[in-house]
Amino acid sequence: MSRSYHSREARWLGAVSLIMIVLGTMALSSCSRPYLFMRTINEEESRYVRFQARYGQGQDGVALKFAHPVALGEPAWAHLLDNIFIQEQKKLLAPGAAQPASRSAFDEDEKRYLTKHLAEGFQKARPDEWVVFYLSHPREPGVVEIDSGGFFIEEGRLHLILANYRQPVSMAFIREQIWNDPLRPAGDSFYDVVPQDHQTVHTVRRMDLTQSLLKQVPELSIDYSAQLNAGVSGDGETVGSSIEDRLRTLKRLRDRGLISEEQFRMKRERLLERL
Amino acid sequence: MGQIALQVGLPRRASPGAATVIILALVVLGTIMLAAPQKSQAIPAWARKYDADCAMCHYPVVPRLNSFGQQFRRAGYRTPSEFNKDQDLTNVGNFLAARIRAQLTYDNTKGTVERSEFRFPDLSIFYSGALTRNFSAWIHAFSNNSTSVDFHGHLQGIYGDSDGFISVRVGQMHMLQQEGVGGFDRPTGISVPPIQALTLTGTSVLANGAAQAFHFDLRQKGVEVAYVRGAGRLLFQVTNGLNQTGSGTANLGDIDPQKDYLVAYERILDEIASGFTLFYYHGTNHGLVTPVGTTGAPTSIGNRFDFSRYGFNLSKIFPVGGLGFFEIQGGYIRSHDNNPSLVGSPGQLSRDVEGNAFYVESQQYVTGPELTFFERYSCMDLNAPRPNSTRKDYTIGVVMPIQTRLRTTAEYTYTDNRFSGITGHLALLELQANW
Repeated sequence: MSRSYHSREARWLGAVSLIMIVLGTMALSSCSRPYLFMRTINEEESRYVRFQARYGQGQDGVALKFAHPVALGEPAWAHLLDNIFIQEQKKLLAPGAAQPASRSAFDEDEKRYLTKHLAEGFQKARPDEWVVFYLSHPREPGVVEIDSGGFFIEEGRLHLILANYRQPVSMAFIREQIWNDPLRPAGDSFYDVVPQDHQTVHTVRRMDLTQSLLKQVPELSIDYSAQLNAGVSGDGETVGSSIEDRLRTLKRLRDRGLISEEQFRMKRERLLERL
Repeated sequence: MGQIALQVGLPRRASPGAATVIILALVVLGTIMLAAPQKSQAIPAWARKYDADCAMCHYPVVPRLNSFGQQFRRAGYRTPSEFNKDQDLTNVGNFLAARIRAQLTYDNTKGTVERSEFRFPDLSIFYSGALTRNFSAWIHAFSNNSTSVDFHGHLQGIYGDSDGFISVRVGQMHMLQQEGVGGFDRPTGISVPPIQALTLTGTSVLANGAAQAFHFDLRQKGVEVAYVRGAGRLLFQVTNGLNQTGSGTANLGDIDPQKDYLVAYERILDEIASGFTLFYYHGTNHGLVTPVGTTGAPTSIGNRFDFSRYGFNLSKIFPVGGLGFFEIQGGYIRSHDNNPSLVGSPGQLSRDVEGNAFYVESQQYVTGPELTFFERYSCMDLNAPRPNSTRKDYTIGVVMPIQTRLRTTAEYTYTDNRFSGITGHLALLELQANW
């Protein structure tokens, strides 16, 4: 055989192999993509709260059945969101650095926005629908920070999948990916969810949101009835503890370094306003 | 340093047959099936510093940069909001990073024994970042396939703001390849396009046989002044040029009083990684250096000749619905060696050498599994007036992030070198970790 024949042969086989790889991968990729159905609860330029039904991903083609709809008032949601805490992960090669303090996962504006629209959404959510959210803020020129995830209620517990938290994004197509599927993590997280009373944190595998065997996304599971009974009811009335008890709890959290001085003062003022 | 593997495998034997390609395809597919795609990080020190995933600065995979990453590098490893601001140097983890690359290679080269080999082409330590309001530093210590450790690094000063600034770099640094845009950045796969990493003219007839070791992937010692305005960068470099080994890194330093210079203009076209670069390089070399070697200053040099390289590189990325992206990339380099009259073999005396080189490459990035496929054709006519002086390289491959701080790449290159009469095949499977 001549050299040119071998050259042609190698090129031909290479091209065929490549095409097979590309087609096979695209087929695998398209098979593993979930089918998403979204309905808007509220949408602004930089944030939204929506219903989302997911089919065909890690569920054998059957949608999950949640305990929706659920009627929880805005005060209840405010209380639940107040008690979601986040902590920056300790960094590698930072000897002597203090363990970062935990802090409320959402700022006051985010809480107000989510409180209003989660309350509205969960009253209308269907059993196969998550209530998902997307929140973005400019971080610096060319970069936005994105929080995204979703809530659902199952077997008496409120679940939060925090797929992206303070995720800095510089490319529009990644922003669009998260906008179109807020449950899909766009990258590594540098924060941990810190469980409070009546909360547990575990990692998400069952819904395979990451299309990965290794990637893990934190799932916060909240016994919301117990938490609300320890705080406020769905109507916003204090049922489980007095203001005095809650002030003591607040002080304990600050003394243990779980909340900052600023958070302590802000919460204390809010509690005192209720007197 | 992925180009090292390609260079090692230059001369090759004909015909791998179907087996090589099919085995490679199976390896790639097997790896895809076994590995779970995920993001990885490039310089994890900066990921730690900014609490950022790799995608803030990289596309489609580490270490290739997107527009934000390019601007970050241009600005001396600072974000737009960090211009003219003091830096916190207390956390060493924000500056220190490491990388290791391990390869399994298959080499079937004409005239040599067919072989496979484990290689460690790169074990690196980086200490880099912005140091003060205006200054930054890059230090890279590395070992490649040997026990020796090499260092290179540079200091960089930035004057201006994020809209427009002047940058001055001093030290030993890459020229365009690994530092530029439009195909001049670090490769998506393992190997650098041959036209950027290999000799571009067939002048091996010159004395010492090392006269034209120049290529664009060298780390040269010198100074660079650049003006950055928006997406554009105009740069001017003055460097030692080649020493007699052609490496530009020998301890001896410059062997003559002449300096080489490079003028280039590069522009980023979009937020992902599209861009183009126009460049002109002028160098001086000597065909005769005595004594031959790298220790001590030369006692005599002769047969001076000048050479030039100019051309362009460009890349453009197109979105393909929600499936991913398609990229077309390419470049052209025109070479001219102004050979001295007393150098050359019979029949070649005093003849200048002209070379032409170009490459085209396409890449497909698939969202979801986050795989990137690439295919490249490179053609170098090492001596344009001479027949049968063309070298062609055909490369295909796939790269994917496996897990945080880890990526894997499979790449195959077929080389048909008519200049040397040697053909061959090189397959590489690489695992790269950054932390």
